[in-house]
Amino acid sequence: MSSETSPVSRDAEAPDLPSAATLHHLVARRAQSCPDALAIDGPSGRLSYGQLWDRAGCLAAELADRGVRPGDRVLLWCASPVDSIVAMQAVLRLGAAYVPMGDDFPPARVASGARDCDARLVCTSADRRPALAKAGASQAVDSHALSMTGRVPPGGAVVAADDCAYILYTSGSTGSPKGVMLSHRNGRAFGDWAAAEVGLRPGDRVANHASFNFTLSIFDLYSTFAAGATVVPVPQEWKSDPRQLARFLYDERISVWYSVPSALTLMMRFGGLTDSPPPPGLRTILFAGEPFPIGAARRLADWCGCAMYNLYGTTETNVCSYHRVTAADLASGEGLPIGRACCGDRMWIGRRPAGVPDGSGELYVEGPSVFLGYWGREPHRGPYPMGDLVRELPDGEFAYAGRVDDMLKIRGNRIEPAEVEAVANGYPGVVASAVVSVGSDISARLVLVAEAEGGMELPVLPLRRYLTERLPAYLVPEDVVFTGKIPRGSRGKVDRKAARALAAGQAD
Amino acid sequence: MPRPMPSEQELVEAILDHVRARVLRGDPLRELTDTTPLLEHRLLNSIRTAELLVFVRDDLGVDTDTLEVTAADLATARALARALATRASCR
Repeated sequence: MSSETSPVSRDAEAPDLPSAATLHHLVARRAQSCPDALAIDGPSGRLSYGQLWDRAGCLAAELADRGVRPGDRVLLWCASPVDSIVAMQAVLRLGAAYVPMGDDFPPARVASGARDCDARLVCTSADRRPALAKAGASQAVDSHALSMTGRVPPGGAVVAADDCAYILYTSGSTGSPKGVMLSHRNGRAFGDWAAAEVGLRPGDRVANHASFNFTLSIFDLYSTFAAGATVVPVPQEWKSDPRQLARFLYDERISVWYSVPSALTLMMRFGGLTDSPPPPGLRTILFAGEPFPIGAARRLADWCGCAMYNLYGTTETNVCSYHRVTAADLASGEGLPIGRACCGDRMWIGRRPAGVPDGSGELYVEGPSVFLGYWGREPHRGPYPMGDLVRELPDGEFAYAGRVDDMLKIRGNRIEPAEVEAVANGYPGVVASAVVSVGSDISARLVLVAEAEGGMELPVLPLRRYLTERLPAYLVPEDVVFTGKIPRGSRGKVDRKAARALAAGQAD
Repeated sequence: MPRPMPSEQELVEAILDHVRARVLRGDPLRELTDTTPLLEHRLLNSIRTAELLVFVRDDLGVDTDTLEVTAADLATARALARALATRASCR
């Protein structure tokens, strides 16, 4: 379990620090060198690096008492982002892996997540424990209270760079979510690269818009901690109010923002973001998760004059390529390229499936940011096929050109129709369904096309309730259309194109 | 001259009509009521919440700028109407 082979492990500053190749080392190092610098700030609370380290140490002692050992999984479902970050650090220090659940997940989904990854404990808030217990997760603790008991931290576990650090659940094409296992090395490959590329430094205030169960949050946490900067979480309830979101940039003196493009579009269209001069400290905007419409990107660039980056990747690879937006990109009117490989990764067109446009093919990626494998399955080995079609541009960069499979992307969220259909088909009266995406960019929405017994139309609200009790919010279709018969091809497979036409025709 | 502020009941009706038209394809079975959970049943997401607040501001003339809308306010049409009626004014 030694990380001696890792090139970064030799620069540990002090013998009592964790291995330099780990994610929690980033906090340990700052807690030692600048304990009063702010690690976390904003409306959700404030902790210096020293306080974060101490509270995580206390919680680690309490979790160890409750049986958490190296290699275990601990689910996180805290109401406060500050409590979540403390719990992440505690879990990492024990050599275990944290498994964040979305703040808006229904308790049943959290409980099934705990079962799926055989979690030792669930770190949550006192008020959420009854709902969890009812849903069948009895091993829940109030991590906020346990981080304040004044316990002395346990001796640090020996943690290696390739140990699993966190598991992010993503939508699964087989009908149930998949746990993507990522190591300390994976997180650091991206976090360290991005901190250097953006030039993050102490004093930077980095907004955290993404929920911790999304891969985008890795930048907010670990690039920030690598630089000794401050992460400023956006309160969950502000995320659906573009005006509050826009005001957050000013009130919190944000210098670096990273989100899906649709959050930026939403702030521009509904939040009045570009109505006033930009916040004085704002210097870099990064986005990822979906193509940013060029008109909106241009409007944003004209307003802020910031450095802008288009990052590309998926949960399994983290960010694996980047493109710094140029004036020529904005003038050209074409889509922003996904750019060239980063984080020490390599990427290439690995396969040219039949029927795809000339010059395009499926993108393959390998390197230090690529995941360990899916929880409960064989370890991942070799290059990872992205499922995305790309074109190679004359300058060696890549441009996104679509998907090779049925996976949908709506406002940066990855959606496997099969997972939603599996749940919808379990609803009494529904005999078949097809989940499709209608519209584009910020107006894209997920539509459930459902066939009910006897070709009937069922009441929609009870069906919606059923879905919301079982699926994370982003997987719940925004619209339901009943049809007499789900369109199918000659082999009985759902005809998604026809289903989409049906949804678009009836939903618009 | 600011418009007269709609009553809470008028706001409820307007919000219900908006959600019926935008989210429930007219709500042919008349399922939506003033106590239907909007956020919990995902009848509102970030885009639809933004659209609803724009509707309240532009079509109903209610000044929402100083109103810090919370998740509790968006829980039901009744809760939002009450928040608007008690905490906002007309433009």
